[in-house]
Amino acid sequence: MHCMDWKNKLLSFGATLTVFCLLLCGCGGEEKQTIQFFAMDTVMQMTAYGDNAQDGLAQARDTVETLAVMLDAQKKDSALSRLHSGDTVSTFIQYPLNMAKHISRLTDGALDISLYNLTDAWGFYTKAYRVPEPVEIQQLLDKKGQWDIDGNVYTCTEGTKLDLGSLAKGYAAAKAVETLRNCGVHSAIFSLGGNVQTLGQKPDGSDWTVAVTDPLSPQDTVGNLHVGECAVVTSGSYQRNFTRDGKTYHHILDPKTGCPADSGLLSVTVLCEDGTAADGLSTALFVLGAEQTAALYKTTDIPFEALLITEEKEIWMTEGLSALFEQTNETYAPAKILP
Amino acid sequence: MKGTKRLTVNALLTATALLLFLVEMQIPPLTTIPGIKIGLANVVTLFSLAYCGKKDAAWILFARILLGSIFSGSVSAFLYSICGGVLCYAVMCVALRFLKKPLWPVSVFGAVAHNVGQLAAASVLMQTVSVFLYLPYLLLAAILSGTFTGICASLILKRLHKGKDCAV
Amino acid sequence: MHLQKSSHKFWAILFSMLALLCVGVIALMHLLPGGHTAVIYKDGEEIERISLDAVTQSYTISLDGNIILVEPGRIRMQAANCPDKLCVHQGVLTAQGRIVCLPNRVIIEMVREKDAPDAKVG
Repeated sequence: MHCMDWKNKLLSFGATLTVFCLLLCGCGGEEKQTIQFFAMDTVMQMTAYGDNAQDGLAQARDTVETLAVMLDAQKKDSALSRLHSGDTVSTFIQYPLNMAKHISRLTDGALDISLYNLTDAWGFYTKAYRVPEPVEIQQLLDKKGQWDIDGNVYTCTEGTKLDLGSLAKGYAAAKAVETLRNCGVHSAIFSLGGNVQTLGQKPDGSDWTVAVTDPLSPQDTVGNLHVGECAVVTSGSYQRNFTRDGKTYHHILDPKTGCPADSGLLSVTVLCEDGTAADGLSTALFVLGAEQTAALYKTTDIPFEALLITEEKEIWMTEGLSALFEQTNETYAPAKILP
Repeated sequence: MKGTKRLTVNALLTATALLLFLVEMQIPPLTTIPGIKIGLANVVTLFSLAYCGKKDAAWILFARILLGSIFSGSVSAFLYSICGGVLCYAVMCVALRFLKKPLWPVSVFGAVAHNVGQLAAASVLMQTVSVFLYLPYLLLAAILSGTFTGICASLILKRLHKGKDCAV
Repeated sequence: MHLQKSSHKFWAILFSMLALLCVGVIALMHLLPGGHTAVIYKDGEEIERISLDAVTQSYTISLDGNIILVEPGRIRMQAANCPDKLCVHQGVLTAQGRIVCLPNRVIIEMVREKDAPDAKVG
């Protein structure tokens, strides 16, 4: 009888184990599809889950490529460039233009999409980098022109030249997510040249993990953000820059000075429901700096969260991020909440 | 056992262990996972533990590992062997104290210990614990090979009429 | 006699259970979804981290003594100068697992994407 005891126990243990293993094996993941392509001068990677993933991704790619052509500031015949020859504003361009106007007003001009000629003077389009003379910068600032949009009517003064580069990728990502959703995809994540946009949640219902690039060592990360459906966009001085006479000049120009923004930040990561807003805000906040970001956070009518990394190797985050951000890099001081 | 007989038996067992070890080296790897093998030489270790006692078994094991590494000509192989071998030996000694009746489970314990010891050596040498992800494979292999070598050892003991108290 | 027999059985059943447990764990390791990020270590240091889903064209990585072939969705040790060549014989990694070259202290590890971030911003 004594023997039966352990035998039964062992057998029931084994049976439980087998059932457990079988159950776990049965829970396979949903089909996953990834595509990768070049557009907007950068690498676009899109991953979608579920039955319609493949179809959806092909259409989402179409969306991105179409927008890339429309919003290309350097092409003379793009829809964006044709605005200046009096075309009515197509619905596709209305949204980012309105958003640019909105953010510009919100941030007291920290986002300015009419700096095309200035950016060109620094050589950021042609990659023939140069440091323009202060006189030249002042001249370009003086004649950069004014623009406005009201409904589908675009007006501008002579010489205005727009560049939607600071919003285009975010907008494209948001539109691509819309396309995917219309195709019946419920779970996807994009990285459009470092702009992250998610759709829904992961197939297992958990949050997405988005790693934030370490601006001092871009192949590494500072930590992870755990997010649901949203856009996460980083603007950083490490992304595009050149060095002349020992000084490094980056691509985010301060509309007030015409020179690379010098707000003491290395990078700004913005989390926002609206992809276009996330993209535009990240640029604007980089120009504004930590203090003004803190002020804006309290008054903004576009809800956002932000993670700021300063030249002093500090990490500041807005209140809403404290529950979402998990720091993994110890070369930075522990992240603090922006006062 | 004393004197010449002990010397002869130990030498014979060392030679046998070495031979088994070398023969096994010629067998192509059964799987692609490093560290999985039958462990034929363990038959001798277990046999010598039961037949000659702990002290002699230790010497036989050490001599076999040293000579085997010289023949295979690799320092790292020696390190892996010695880590696995020592742990295997220690665990079988302890197991033999508590477990006399069926001999083969002792061999399974030894085989498991041997593989764990090798993994530990690998993780130290390669400075990573990720090799322990091999553990389930190696445990499975150890149970199978340990059972096999254990049965071999007790069969030999039985044939030698020394293993009257060792049931197969 | 009864005692002897049952203690044989006891050990046989116990070890069978353990073996079954191992098989279960191994099956789980193979069946878990994801696992398309390969990480290459040499002497315990991370050399390279490759998202294999993003690879469109095959290429090789040469390490001192080992040549690693990276292909879309998979990775393998193409050649090695170690005596046993176990790492080369281990073939292709397509799911969670690792290829280890003990003599050269090279590890190719496929990590589950669950553990890796879904995307990197910036």
